[in-house]
Amino acid sequence: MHLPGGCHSPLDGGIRCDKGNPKHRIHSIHSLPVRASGLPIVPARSSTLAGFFATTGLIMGRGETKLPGAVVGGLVLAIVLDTIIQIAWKLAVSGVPGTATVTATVREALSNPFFWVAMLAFGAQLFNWVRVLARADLSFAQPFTALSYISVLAISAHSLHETIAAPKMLGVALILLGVFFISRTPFRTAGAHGPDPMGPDSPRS
Amino acid sequence: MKPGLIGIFVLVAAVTVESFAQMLLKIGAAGGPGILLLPYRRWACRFSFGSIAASWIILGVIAYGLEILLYTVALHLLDLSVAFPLGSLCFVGVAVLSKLYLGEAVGRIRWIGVGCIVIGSVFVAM
Repeated sequence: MHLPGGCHSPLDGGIRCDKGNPKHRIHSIHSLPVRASGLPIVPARSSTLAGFFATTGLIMGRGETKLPGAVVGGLVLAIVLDTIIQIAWKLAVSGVPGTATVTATVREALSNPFFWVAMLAFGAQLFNWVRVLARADLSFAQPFTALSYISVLAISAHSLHETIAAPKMLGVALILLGVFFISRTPFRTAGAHGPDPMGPDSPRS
Repeated sequence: MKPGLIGIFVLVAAVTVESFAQMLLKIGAAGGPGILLLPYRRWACRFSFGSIAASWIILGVIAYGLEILLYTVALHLLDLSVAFPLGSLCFVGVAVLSKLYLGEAVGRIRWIGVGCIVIGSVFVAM
């Protein structure tokens, strides 16, 4: 895991389309010193067990591993909205026969109220998601949306009065484990972000 | 060509489009292409709209609309137990794009997490 350099100002990499100034990319692999072989010299930071745990963030207390409330709230809202979108979408398209043409499918969807519920939730999701992405890595935030797989499964099973079979439970456990792993990584590892939502004095370095 | 095979092609297209849609939204959310790694930032800045954050979000939304269309078509051609795990490959796509173009630290732990999610989605769809 890279530690971001302490050179971010809120303006770095913002709206300004600067052609040069690669200094705030210092933590990217492209700016690492290069061996004669052409391979970048990557700091040997995960060769030991301690290094492994340090990089996973299992040893907490670093600035980037402590999730701000706004990110947590945004992720929770994203999962809720994602669940609404998926359930509404399912209900909207469930009446369309599998043999229907594309045009028939589209026409059917547009006339279904659940489609519009999905669209409304989608609009709200877009607004919320952009706010989350302004604060966190894409590769950190996006895997959390997999939790909506679990919520959709739970709601579907509940509404159909079905029990969730063993393979599905294993799948749920694996998704939870996956999201747990992601949550152990620093939430922001790249990029100075436009108008910095954490403020210019954020303890990033 | 069998409907199943066409379905898989459509789904792979949907996953690719979705991954790019996520990246476009991220660029917009970050205030513009400044978040991209240098060579790609230069490329992005060639476009006249490049420096306007909102234009990236609009592009992302357009890509998302396309993805929804493709995914809906794919669901009519494929069984959900196939479509669902394949759809979860967007987590892989997003991780790859985040690392390649945004320079995010997608290390071992994030990959393990993504792997667990993708394998988990195979079982969830059973």
